[in-house]
Amino acid sequence: MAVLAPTSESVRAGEPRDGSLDEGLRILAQEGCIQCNKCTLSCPVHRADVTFSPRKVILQAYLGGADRVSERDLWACLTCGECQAVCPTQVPYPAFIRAKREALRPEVERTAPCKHGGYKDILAKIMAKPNLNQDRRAWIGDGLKVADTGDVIYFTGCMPYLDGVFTYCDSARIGKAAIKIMNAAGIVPVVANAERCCGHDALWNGDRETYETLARRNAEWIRASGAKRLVTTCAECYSMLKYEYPKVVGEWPVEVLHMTELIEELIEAGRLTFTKPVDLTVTYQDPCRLGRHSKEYDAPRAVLRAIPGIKFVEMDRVRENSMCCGVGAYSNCDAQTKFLQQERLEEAASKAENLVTACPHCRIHFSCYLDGRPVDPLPDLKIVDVTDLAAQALG
Amino acid sequence: MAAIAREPGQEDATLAFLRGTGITYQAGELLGYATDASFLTLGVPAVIVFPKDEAECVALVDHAVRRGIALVPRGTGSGTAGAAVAPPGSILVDMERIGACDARGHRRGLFDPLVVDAKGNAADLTKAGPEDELYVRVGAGRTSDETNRALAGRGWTVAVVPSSGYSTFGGNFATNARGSGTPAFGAFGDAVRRLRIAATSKEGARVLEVTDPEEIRRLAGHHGLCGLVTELDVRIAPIPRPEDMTCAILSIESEDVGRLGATMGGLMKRVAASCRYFAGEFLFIDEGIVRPDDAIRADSVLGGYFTVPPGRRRMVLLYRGRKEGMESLPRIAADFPDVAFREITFPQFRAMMAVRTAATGKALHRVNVPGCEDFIIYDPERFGDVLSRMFAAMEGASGRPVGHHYPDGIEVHYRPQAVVTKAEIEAAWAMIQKLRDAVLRPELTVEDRKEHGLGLALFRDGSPSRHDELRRLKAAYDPVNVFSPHLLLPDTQGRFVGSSFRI
Amino acid sequence: MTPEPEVLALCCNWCGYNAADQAGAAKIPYPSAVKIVRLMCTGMVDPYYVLRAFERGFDGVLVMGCHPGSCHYKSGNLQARAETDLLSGVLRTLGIGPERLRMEAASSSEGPRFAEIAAEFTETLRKLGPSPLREVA
Repeated sequence: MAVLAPTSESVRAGEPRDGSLDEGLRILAQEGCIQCNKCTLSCPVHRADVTFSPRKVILQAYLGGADRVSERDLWACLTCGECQAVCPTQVPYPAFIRAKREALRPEVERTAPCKHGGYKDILAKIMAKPNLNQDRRAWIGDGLKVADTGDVIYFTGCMPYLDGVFTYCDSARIGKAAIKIMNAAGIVPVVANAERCCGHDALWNGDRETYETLARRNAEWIRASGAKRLVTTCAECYSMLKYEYPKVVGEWPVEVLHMTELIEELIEAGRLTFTKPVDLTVTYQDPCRLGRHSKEYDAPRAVLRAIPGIKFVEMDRVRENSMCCGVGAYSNCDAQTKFLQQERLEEAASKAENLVTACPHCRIHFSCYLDGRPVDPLPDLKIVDVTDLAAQALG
Repeated sequence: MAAIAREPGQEDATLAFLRGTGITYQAGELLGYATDASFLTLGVPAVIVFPKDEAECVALVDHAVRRGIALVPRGTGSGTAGAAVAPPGSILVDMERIGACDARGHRRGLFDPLVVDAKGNAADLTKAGPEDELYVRVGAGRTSDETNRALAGRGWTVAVVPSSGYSTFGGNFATNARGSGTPAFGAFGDAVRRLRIAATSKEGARVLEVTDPEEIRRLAGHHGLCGLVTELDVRIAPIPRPEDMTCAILSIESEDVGRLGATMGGLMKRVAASCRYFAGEFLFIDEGIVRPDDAIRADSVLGGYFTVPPGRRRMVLLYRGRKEGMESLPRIAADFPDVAFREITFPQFRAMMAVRTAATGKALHRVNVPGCEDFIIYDPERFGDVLSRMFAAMEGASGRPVGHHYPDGIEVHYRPQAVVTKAEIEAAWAMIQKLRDAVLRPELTVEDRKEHGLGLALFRDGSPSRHDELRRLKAAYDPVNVFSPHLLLPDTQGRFVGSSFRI
Repeated sequence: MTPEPEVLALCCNWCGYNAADQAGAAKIPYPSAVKIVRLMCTGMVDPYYVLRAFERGFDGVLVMGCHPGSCHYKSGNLQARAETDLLSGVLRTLGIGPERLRMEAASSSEGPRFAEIAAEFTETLRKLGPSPLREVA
């Protein structure tokens, strides 16, 4: 019997930094996978497609060099992080895939296979351009107050553009709810026309150039605003602005909060009171970017528990074991996705009539599934955002 | 490496068969399946199939018999001794979907378990009492993790749970795995009441249902050489209420590991005689077993176990069981003044077990090199001798031994950890040979349990009576040797000997 | 000197494109900066095509389909209308402006109509000035 030893390339990758080595391989080799297969068994894509296996991808990368990763393996990954959460040695698989996508970008002439017709991808590229004069407040409507300057920025991300394509769920509703809540607590948030897409999809799909351009453009106006805090209702924007931006934009003066963290804080400080009962049975979907990626599991739950009338039932797979909504960075939606969405929504429907999300994209993906043709029968289920629910309780 | 087909066109025939029957497969150079968690390899397989139910298994076995193709079954591939690696020219059969997926082949992690009694009749778990002998009827692809998740809500658990809860039941049976619960329920083979296996005959495949407990015990540990096990009735047990359970930690430290072993061996001998328990687990703690900033160091109860004066070794032994079975433990411990005894809570027990599991894992950028996986010392009074020899042979190598205290003996696991370079892996193998020579001796009452396989070595080094038993099983279940690639492909036989290797 | 407006004309095979073809064959002039792309049906028009055109620096996008009720595939042009209505909102938010996207109908025999629309749209765009995304050399 032979013992499989990796290529000298991957062994060398574990040594002190050498700029010429593939970043993806360096990430893998430094951690050292023991091939236990826990990752594959916990991977949602693997459940739907047994030939997709993170373990296998890692072994192939180890043995043959990271250019052995097939296109399918590269793009089918949701980067949800379930694998890393169960890995005994914490191999950072999503980071490896991200680095691999980046490494391949020069060879891939077309854009990454962004689903839904490339909509979000091209929007991000447009927003990366300098001479843009967006009207990012038109969706706000009457009765809600926003400002040009202030201490608190409400970062809206793609929200002004989501309803242009994802017509089956009203995403602007989330933003309106957020502003209503902030106004009720005496906060008039800054909503800036200079805002750009946060660059989440660009970064996760390997387009570092677009991502860094967007990040720098955002950092410019955020710094100039003088604001001290930044709040967002999107888990993806949150993970970008809190954890990724500081790595590339230099001085980063704002404290970044998810809306649920702000609501929790306002309730504890007595600046917000829920007076109107919301009589619903709900369960909660931990978004990958807020949960596993950012480790924020508690604030959304605290908000739900603070809303009078809510009956909150947890699903079986929650927190670090939460199951992804089926699409990661808008780059992989296929037949397997529909099985995953069916599985998760069945689990949710077995617990409650309403599934609460804390990321507009989870809501879009689940709503898309319900708007289309479910693979199997599904009880009635409504997908509702946590900020929206909180606003309903304000009366 | 290209696949070596026995006859030209054989591979085409297999692909045509797979396409015709709709069995999911992957073909081509499958680097990703060249090994399991052992990093041992026989080459790169050319075909892997993923049957989703028993019918597909039967069709596959039938095809293999007619064509004379070897089949190598594999569970989740978590084995660390190369038992599920396939030589070129054979078909690797991934069994993880059996009994675990829906009609479309989508693997469903959440499921409603079918509970049966010893006769195989459906039983209602909600009406069951703690003394009832009950089983879950599950496909071979199910894991104990997901089954326990399904049972937990009703307060039951799989009775024998190996430390890798994500290994399949098929794999657990194939290796006759031991684990948590073994002191009360035996090895995995003792905890199975019925199984179905897709076996062979000269004409083709046949499905056998085995219900005789003795036959099941003989089959346990077959390592995939007798057929494809598709379904099992696996013993379950009630989860004891917290108030009925007790956990304890015993600790000893010494500069002389022989004396340490002699003391603990004496203690374990008395515990085996006087106590009943679910789990008896031990580990050796050194300063580096957890990181300096690990939260467990700050724990008011457990932190103290992690400070070890230089030059001394500490062994920590954990027990978990029902109160009434463990009554005499404190009195026994009191007779050994060098041993510190303390009762702990179940969460504290779990926290120490997590350290133990991580200890058998690996440091960064290292692999466990298999070879001295699990040996059992039948006479606990020899424990001191064995430990002296073991630590002397291990001198300078990395990795930490851990073990189980079973009522019939003390089982030790040790795998050295090597940086993934040829030189280090070879050095680790050399050290293992030294260790085996030092420790695997009948006069020490030590036997290599070979729970984790290692190919022909598993059988070559076994006892003559076990050889006879295996020959009989082979004749009964796989007379055409479809599941013995080394017999179907004689020119590859030299590669299978597990105790020698090359990189 | 402001450059000529660049227009992308997405024309359906059965009506719009034939109209453009007829205009060319009959030598009816229309601005040369109108670039024509033939689709089988305007129902194919995806937000990506329109947005990509703007990202690439086009000043305007013209969608030319069949008259309502005459779509070769029954209702593709109605889908296109719904799509362009939504896209107008997106373009407004982006600051590119809804006026830069126009959907019109011209049957295969309406060559002159095609030319007229193309010219008039180009003139509108000239008054609007270049698209904010256009990189002027």
